[in-house]
Amino acid sequence: MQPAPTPSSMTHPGQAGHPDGQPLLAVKALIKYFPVDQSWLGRSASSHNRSAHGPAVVHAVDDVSFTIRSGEVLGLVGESGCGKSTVARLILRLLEPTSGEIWFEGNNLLAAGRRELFAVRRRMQIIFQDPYSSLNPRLRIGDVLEEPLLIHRVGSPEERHRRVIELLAQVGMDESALTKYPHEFSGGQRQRIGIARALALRPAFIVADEPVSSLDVSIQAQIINLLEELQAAYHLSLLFIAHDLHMVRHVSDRVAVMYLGRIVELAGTESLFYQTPPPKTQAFLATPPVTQTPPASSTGGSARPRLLLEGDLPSPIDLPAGCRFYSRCPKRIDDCLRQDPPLIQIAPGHQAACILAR
Amino acid sequence: MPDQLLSIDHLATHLETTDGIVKAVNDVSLTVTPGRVLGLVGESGCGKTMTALSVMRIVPPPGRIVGGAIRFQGVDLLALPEREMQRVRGRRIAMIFQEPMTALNPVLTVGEQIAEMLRYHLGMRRGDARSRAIELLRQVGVPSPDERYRAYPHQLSGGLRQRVMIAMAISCEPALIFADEPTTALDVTIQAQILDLLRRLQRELRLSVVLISHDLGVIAQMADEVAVMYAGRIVEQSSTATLFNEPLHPYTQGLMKSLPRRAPRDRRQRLTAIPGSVPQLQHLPSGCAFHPRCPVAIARCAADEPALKSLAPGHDARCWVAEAKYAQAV
Repeated sequence: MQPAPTPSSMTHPGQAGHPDGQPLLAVKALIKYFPVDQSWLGRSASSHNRSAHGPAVVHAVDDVSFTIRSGEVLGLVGESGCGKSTVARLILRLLEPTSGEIWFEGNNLLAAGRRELFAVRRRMQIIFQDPYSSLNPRLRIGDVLEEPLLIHRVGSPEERHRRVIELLAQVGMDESALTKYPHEFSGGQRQRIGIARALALRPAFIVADEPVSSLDVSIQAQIINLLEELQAAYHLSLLFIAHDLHMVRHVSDRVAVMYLGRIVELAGTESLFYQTPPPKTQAFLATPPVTQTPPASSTGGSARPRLLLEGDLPSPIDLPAGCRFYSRCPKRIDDCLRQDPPLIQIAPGHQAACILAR
Repeated sequence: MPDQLLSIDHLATHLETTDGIVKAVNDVSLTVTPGRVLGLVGESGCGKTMTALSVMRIVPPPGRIVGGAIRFQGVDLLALPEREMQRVRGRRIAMIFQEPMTALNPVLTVGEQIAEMLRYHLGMRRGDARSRAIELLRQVGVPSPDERYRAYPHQLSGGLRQRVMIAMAISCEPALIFADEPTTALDVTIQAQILDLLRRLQRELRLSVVLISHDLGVIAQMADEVAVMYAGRIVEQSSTATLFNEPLHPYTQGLMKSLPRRAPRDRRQRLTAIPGSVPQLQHLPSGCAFHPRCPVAIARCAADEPALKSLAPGHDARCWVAEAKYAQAV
């Protein structure tokens, strides 16, 4: 843990309320570099990549900025290792950023001391991808759901009990679950319990990190419907992380696409999915599950042609010069090597980091 | 039928557990036509992989094939002595696994592993096997194959490892390939590459493939025919176009409806979920295993189990309701 900055840099509690129109969450120039393992196991890799500029680092999150309004769902998509989950963990301060700012309900989270952070954490929660490893196997469901209330000293024992039953009802489960252990439930039911736990403290903001990708196909729709109902009922802000673009398109108001630690495109769902995008997003969006379209008609109807990316993701340690996508981009030109394009506005509410998109 | 490459008849593979007998594969009949791709779709635990392992005769204990027949190129595989079965595995029927990292040997270079196949099955000399392995790596799109020949699996990305798996699978020019969730462990952009490769090889080499997947999108792109499995049984079977245009079984219909729609997008439109959860195989519901989750179930569904019946030309389903509807229409 780094020493907490002085509390005086926090916004005064009286100003913590945010007027309408202000974003609930604002992330500015967020950077997280992980040092590459210097132990003997990792030495061969790191010495190879160490440059004259000092020890090698993984550019996990590299200058990321975005906002989420109250009640808004922001989808965050990208290939594995692009930094999606790291962004989520930085926002929740489960990881310490290298630099940048995170403003939540008027508070600068990176300047917050332990006590302020404790208070803020009631307002922001996370739903994990794996409903098996994210529930303590030795706690009964009643205890799993009461734990956040206990930690934050909410209510009397009776009030907490009532709240736990209420939470179970909200996710479509009944009281019989209280005395059972996680292993007695299916994956879908466990994910419901994970959602109930995230709701326990009535948060304003929830990170949903691949909440359905480990579930069976027939169960995914149940959980997505539940998330959407709860999001609307409690006016929640969601950061919805996924690699299934159809799900992201279905739930999100806006979508951010990440590639190698950067946001490369950020736009309203409609304009991202249905207007001509920069090549990077285009390839990502063109990838397989063309599920709803029967094979007979899959050639027609789609607004964009299928674009196949060559090669693999470059190493986030040895970043290529210029645009990070250059090596895989089917539309690359020489100018792309000259600079790493910044994320700029290409249309109202539509940002992209591609010189061809201008 | 002489023109079938593989025909599985009433296959039953059971697992004897302390909790009772698990009918992992329950009366499954399938045929694979030469040069075609059969998609086997279903959720985890429905018996797709067990069916493939049964054909290869590598069902892990406590699993056991307890009934049925598997005929491959006219030979009854279940009657074959183990020694001869070893000449079928990898040589005439190959398998591509979901997780190439665990399927490849970590202490041999990928080139050596391909060459080993060629030497064991085809009796090639060391040098010939080596050049053929490099040629195969090139064929599956591995860049600088001479160098990659000497790479260990952990030095390759997931996409390249899966390409190596595919090179191994086609190395002995098998008559049939089982591809078990070949793209599930990969990133979306890499998934597209691997599917493209599989399709290209399938066409060029006229491969016969059984493609196992839970992803209807992958099946729609790749398969000529589809069999849908639920709780150890085939519940619907037809050509891919027919299945996607006119699914008959309520489970297939539910799977398709539960996927988010394409444009026009209406965000507040709910997904149509299939209620409940996948049943445990040792505690299967009475009658049709799907009836507790079925939106159109009738009294009979809880009492009697429907048979897989041909309801339209080339279109089979295992459902009382669909059967009644089609009986009326005819």
